[in-house]
Amino acid sequence: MKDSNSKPDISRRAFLGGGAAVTGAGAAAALGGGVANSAVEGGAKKHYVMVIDARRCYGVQACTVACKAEYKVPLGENRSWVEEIEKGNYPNVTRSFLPRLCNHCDEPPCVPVCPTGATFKRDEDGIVVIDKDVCIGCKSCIQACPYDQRFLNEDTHTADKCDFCIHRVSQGLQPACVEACPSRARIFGDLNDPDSEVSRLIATNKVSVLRPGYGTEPNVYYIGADHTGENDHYAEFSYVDVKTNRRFAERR
Amino acid sequence: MTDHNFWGLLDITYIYLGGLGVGAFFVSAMLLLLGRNDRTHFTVARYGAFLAFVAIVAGGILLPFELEHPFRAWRVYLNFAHGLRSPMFYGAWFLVIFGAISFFYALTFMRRGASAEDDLARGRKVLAWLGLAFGLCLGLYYGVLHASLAARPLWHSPVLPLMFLVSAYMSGAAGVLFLFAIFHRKNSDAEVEKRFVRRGHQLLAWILILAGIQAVLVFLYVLFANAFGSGDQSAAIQILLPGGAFATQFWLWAVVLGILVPIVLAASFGVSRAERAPVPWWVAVVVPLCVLIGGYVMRYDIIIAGQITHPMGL
Repeated sequence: MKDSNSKPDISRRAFLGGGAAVTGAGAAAALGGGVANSAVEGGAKKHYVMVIDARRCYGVQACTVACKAEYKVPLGENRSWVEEIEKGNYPNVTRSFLPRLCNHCDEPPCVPVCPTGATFKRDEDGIVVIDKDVCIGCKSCIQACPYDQRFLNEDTHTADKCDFCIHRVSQGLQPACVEACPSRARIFGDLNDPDSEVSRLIATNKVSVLRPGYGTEPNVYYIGADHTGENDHYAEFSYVDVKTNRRFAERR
Repeated sequence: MTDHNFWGLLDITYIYLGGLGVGAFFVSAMLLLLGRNDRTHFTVARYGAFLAFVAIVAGGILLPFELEHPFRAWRVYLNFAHGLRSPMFYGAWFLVIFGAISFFYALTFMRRGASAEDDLARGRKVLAWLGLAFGLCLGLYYGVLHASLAARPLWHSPVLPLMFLVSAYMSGAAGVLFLFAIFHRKNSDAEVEKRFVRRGHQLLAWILILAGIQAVLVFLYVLFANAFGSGDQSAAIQILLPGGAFATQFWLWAVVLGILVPIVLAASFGVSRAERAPVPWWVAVVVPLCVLIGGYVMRYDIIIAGQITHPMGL
């Protein structure tokens, strides 16, 4: 029998016969002792999304650190991070924060380019994952992501990115970044559940996604996000400074 | 800047050598098929056959070094279930098939006493046709691999695969002309030597035509991105335009040296003197070198600059 604390097998084969991992999640949640995620209870198909209320984020980077610690992400890389946007001319100035992570797109451009099928979108919950045992490290998916969310993990020598903390979510827990956020700026849940908090937030707030023009249909929604880009000072004739807090100095 | 170069010099060299192989095969096969049973066509076609095989093998050897897990590469070839939407799946198959064709094609030239009318002539021509078809696929693939990625606005152009293909054919013609200039010894039979002279002019004329097409394609590539492309594409192409970080090397090395100088030299010493004198030795060396260097720089600039530029705004 599968150890409930072990990391779930993310191969395609495991998914095809892998309903058991999901149905056992409710019990595992009680054992785990964390915040139970009602979204994974029951066998219905999930549609996991994250809502980020940028109005609540004050750039403490707790999510960034929690993610690094959860995955031992190699130095210089991040699966999730928070960008800082300063803009305006005194006295009309603002400072806002934009948490970033994989968008787990409904039309993920990283999936079709993969020549081995190592990266794919899970049918049962919509999470875009990478099977590290199948990835050959050709870097096609890294090039294909319009959000530059993927990186080459120098430890595993495979593509890497946020997977919505699949090992936690499958046990009824919240993703590490969600649990670490002190201001509850990140809310995670099942969009297929009309009573979930994410469904309610999306229904009652004006939400936005990143780069909608690329047709990727992201599953990370933002409330009150400042979409100002680092080059927008040309158009706005005002000071704009974007700090990515990432290896790449410019926003990608 | 180099942080973004997930595809670097190894990839560029692999794509360049692959293109050189495709181009050399194209020139060899065209000479063989157009030349019917002429001895001079056959001799020059042999240079192309060998160059194609050597280039494609050299490129193929580089490829595994570019993968992080080369021993899993076999998975690409068996991924019929999910690979049909991946350009790299097709590219991997084209590379293997074209590599095999170019191997057997080169083999038909290696036999002692091989000639245009030997008993392998029919099989050689069949291989030439097959290699033309799969070479076309492979030559287009190198561009499609990049052009299919919307997230890289500098690459995301319908003109790019054609640019890479024409550059490949140009490189092939240049490589064969170079080998011809180096290895050809004057034939004692004046009539045969006259036909060899025509082959030199023929190769120079092909380079001239292909360089002319390439000049138009470069113009269209820049025009489509700058004037008709999306905001991201027109922002990205600035890196190649005056003031951009890659402008000098792109226009000076890839366009002036790689396209315009060969056009001027080929027009001056090739077409206008076609029936009078052999292609001067220095022209038959300088033109290929310009084409080969320019072709490499063109791929380098586009592949590296394409990873530095990125979608704008959020």
